[in-house]
Amino acid sequence: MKKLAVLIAALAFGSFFAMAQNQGKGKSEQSHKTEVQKGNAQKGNMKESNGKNASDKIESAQENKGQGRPENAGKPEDAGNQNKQNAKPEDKGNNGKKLGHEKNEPKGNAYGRDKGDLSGKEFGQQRAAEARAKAKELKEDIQEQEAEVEETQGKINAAKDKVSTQEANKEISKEEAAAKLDKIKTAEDKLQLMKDNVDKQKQELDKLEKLTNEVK
Amino acid sequence: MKKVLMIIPLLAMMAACGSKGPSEAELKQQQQLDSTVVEVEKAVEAGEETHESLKNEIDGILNDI
Repeated sequence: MKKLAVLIAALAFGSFFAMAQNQGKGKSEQSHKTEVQKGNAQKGNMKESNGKNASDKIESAQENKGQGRPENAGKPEDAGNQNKQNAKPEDKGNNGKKLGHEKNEPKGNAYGRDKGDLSGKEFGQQRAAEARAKAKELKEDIQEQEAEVEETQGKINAAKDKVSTQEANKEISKEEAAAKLDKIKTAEDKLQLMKDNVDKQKQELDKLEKLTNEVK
Repeated sequence: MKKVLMIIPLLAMMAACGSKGPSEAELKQQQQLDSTVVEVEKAVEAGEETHESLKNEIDGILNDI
């Protein structure tokens, strides 16, 4: 009798534990899928604006923030209706890779990959660590851009000096010098756009860094 | 003894409920983190494209001078 009771208790424990784990997993997978789909849909829209000229791009990028979702892309109902077997995390990861990433990274970003044997908290910590790594990677990209802005600024200054020297040495007429300086002014305006663009990216990155610092 | 045996399944159920995976707040935080990562990644990618395009335009202008 005692053995039977212990056996029942063990079975009850096991079944409830398994159920509870599955519930938690389902929730996070579903919500995650929605996020990945949203991101891919927005990314897709970004690619469409490739042909436009650079100053237009900044505006279109801002517009895409609000509009860039196909109607069927991020609906939670879609994710919720999927059979659990079909909603394997590996599949979702590959989907994200196919649609959103062109670089040859092994599996794209890790969001949505198999949770494996990790508990909910461990999984959360892992995701936070991955987000930190991503933030670091993006920071390096932005730093590269900053270096290029500096380099371009140097080129513009050199061009100005060159025009001044040529004018002083009477190698070019005043009209020619004015035309060249006009072109340099255009370049300077574009350089300002470059700086604004980098600042905008920095602000976005700050948001992510703040959030990753909050998640322990 | 019987009472003890009755309590065991109850304790097991409580333990199972306690180990339900991430809490709602944690889940929400994770979702927010995920969406922010996607958003920032997208913004930086778009920014990089704009940056390259502007850089090429400036180089073209300076080469003409």
